[in-house]
Amino acid sequence: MTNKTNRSQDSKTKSAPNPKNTCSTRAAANGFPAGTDWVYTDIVKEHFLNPRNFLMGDESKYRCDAKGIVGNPICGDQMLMMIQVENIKDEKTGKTEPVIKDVKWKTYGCASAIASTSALSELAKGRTLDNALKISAEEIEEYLGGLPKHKFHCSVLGHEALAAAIEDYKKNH
Amino acid sequence: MVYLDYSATSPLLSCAKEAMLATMGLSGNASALHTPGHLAMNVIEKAREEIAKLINAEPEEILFTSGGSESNNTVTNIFAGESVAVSAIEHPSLLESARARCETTILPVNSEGIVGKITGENYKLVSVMLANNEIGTINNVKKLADETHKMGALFHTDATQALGKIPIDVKALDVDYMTLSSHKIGGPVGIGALYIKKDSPFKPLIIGGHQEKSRRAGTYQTVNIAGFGAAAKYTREHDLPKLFKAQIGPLRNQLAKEILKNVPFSSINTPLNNSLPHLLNCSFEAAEGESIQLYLDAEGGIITSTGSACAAGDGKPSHVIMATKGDAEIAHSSVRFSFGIDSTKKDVEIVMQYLPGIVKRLQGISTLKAGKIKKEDSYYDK
Repeated sequence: MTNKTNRSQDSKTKSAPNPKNTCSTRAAANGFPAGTDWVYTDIVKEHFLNPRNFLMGDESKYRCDAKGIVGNPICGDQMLMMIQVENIKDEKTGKTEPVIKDVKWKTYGCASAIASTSALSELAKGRTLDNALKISAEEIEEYLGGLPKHKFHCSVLGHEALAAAIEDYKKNH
Repeated sequence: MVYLDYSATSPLLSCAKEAMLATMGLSGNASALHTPGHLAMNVIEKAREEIAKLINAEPEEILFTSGGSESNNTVTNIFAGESVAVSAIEHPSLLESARARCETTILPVNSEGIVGKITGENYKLVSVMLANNEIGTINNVKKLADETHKMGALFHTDATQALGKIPIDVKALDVDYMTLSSHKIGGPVGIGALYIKKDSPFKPLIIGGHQEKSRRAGTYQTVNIAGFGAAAKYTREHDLPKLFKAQIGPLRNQLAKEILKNVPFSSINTPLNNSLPHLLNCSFEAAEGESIQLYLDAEGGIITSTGSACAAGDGKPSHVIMATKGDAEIAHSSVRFSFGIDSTKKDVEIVMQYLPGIVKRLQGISTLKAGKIKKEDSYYDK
């Protein structure tokens, strides 16, 4: 989702209000590169900067078979999961089972919320509905290589939205 | 890198660093009477004079502490068990320590963060910050101190954010206590001060030592005090409040104007005509603050703060935005830009190069629909 652009390291090229050759904060302010060291793991960061399967804009643009929403903007995080389901015959058992063919999501939330919803969408795609229901917050966290403790309970909510979408599907099919 | 988080901490001024390096060679305990001790004490007393001069106080009215939080805690500790009134937008180190120690009344603020009349009575202390750290609002401390004194109470103001940004004169403001911090003016972290007007009631927070005339126990932090003194001296000699007003304020206003013009569903939480000149707090509907902050960091090398609960660690949105705007979504979607003496027009240009795209993308993937705040409600258009 990001636009790859050159990071501006030489942003202080124009003359500053602070008189030249006097005391300055510049050396200290430029002592480290931005965007390189976060509280999040590299996997979380990668999913945040390049989220998978998100839906940009109006959700009516996406034809889905069921959807579920969880969270509350008052608390700071909200996730919407939308699924397309297809009945697929299992070669081994010969049984036909509903499988998540495609997932799209929308999120209002922090980096952890965006990354965990993106990770969930990858975990859910291709699973049978019953298998997808088994995806837990812990599985998402493990997939992401861990999350800061205070982030886990408030931002890893997408699996509940997915479960709601699956229930919605089962109710109507 | 575009560093716009000076209100969180200012990078160390080079002259403060030099003063600290020069002091590191002083090996004596400043309380000792021998030569190395006395040399260290000289550094401390010179720094004390500089800090006093910066706020028009007397050197003996300056007590060194570990920072703003300790200074605020020291004040609430003096009034432990007493009835006090504090504003709703104080720093947590004042708000929570008052609640823990005193019988505390919260003074409400209006949508801009202004405390009106001091309601209630029989207080021993009233505390209202000179300027707010999140939205920059400047309160009329002189008027509030006068009102407080008429009630027979004492007045404290937290000037942590205001120091060096606007002129401060403790005699003109007529406050009894004032909290100061070093690292907001380019000094080191870990050192601050409390101004205590001569003959005001006092009780030490840290006991068990004769330092600071038995007002605060603990070996002197000579190196940090030297850095604080150097930053205070530079601030006074170069009249930085004047520089902030003349040169940084217009930069801040330019950013506000461009945000409202170019970033969809943006609003300004800082009252631009009554605030610290270097601070701008904005909200972007349907886009969450921490995400904006981290995309700015990753894509533009732009360093900011947010009032979102997600970044705070305690799961609560900014109490300042809640007290002024009363809306959790606005709080979660808020970003604070704070400029410093080395900020330039180029910094504003770089922010505007990245911010609109980041906010639009986050609004695009958001479950929330933007459009709740009417454009005419945003501050700049008033």
